[in-house]
Amino acid sequence: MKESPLFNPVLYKGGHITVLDETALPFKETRIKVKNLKTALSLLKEMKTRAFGQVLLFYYTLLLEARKNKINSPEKFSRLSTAITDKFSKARPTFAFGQLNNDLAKMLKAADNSKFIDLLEKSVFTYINLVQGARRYRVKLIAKILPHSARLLTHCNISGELVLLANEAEKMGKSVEFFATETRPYFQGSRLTAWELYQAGLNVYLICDIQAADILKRCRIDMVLVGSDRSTQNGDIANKIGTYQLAVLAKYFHIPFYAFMQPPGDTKNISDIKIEYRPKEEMLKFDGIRIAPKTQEALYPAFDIVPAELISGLVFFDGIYTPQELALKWQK
Amino acid sequence: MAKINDFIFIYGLPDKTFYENNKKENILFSEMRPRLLGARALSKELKKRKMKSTLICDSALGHFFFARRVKKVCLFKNKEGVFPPGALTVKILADYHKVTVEITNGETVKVARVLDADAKTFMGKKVTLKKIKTITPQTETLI
Repeated sequence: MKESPLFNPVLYKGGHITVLDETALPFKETRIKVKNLKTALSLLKEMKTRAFGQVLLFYYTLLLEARKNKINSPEKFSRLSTAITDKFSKARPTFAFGQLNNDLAKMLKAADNSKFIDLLEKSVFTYINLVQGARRYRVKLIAKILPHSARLLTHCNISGELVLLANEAEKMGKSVEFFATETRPYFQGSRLTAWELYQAGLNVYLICDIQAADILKRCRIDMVLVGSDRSTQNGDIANKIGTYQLAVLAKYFHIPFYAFMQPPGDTKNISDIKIEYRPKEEMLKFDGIRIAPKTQEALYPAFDIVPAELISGLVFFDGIYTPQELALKWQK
Repeated sequence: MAKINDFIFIYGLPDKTFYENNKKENILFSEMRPRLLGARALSKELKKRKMKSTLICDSALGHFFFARRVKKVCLFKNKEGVFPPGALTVKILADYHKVTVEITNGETVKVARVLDADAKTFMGKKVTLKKIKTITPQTETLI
């Protein structure tokens, strides 16, 4: 089974960044060149890339700008990266770019002396390879606990991890069938998840977000599995809007709710997470067509908080934890 | 200070009585996929009656319950007594958050054209590959 293009949607090669344009999927697979910070921020704001793609875009933009500005010392890089982190955070305020910057800073501290740019590049690629390895590992953890013929309900898009999961499950002699919610208003489910699963030859059914309760009632769903953009030390998560109601429905129907999680870093509880609100026009217009009168007031919160009490398991890079276990782990 | 309990959430098409009795209320309503009955039909009815209203995606409903913005839910069957798709999700969310649900017979929606029967299209346009399977929304019964 081929890896999904969404597993590694942003590439850095020969000093250039290219971004898989997720807004053009599933009908076109095109890549956009990024030559500077301004373009990177523009792509980020327009959600040309998101989820793991924005992690890659962040790190590669740091590299790009460090080279452009001929940064030759950790101190100068620290000033540059702080400024870039600030700009990325303003563009997508829910995501923890500060945490990514801190993780890189730790690697740069620990590394040996050599030409700074080369050191930076080595650190970035080492970090990304570590994370990609961890992502490949954690899907095995979920595959292990799935039943023989598993049915998963998912929301938004988990950047290629569901394709990997199905691959690992197949090696274990298991099959996985997916139900993907469309994930309005950006349609990550319709355009990205359903597409990548279909392209990988997997069984996927696309449903409207509001059908979830009926599907959980009528179909035998074994697990609700989602990604997350943030997590807290308490074991809460933040993920795409629509995730919270799925968690409530899963609880109601006694179906386990699992989430792939990010390291919480300094995020202690949900009050530390800012929920991004996006322009209402993004939900009121589709492909140039207006869905409601121009004067209609609308609200588009882009993310949901899912409190720990609704979560059965958090899939971290080194194991699956209950929220209580995670909270203890983080206290140590 | 964060707002709480400032919305009545309505799902389905209300009858005239609802509009008359709730003229001054702040209405929250959702798109009502797949046919977008909320966005396409209900929004016009609310606008016609000059009622204050806010539209959200169906996916955002839980968010507003979690934020304690919803003080009451009004769930409308159509004239034939059938709930719209999504009614079960609405009911479960309301019950979980201990928000009162009023269930009444409302109107049957008439939109100029039915553009979408399922999740594969939006306003008549493809949002995913033609070959991808979907599940057409069924009539829902509340538990």
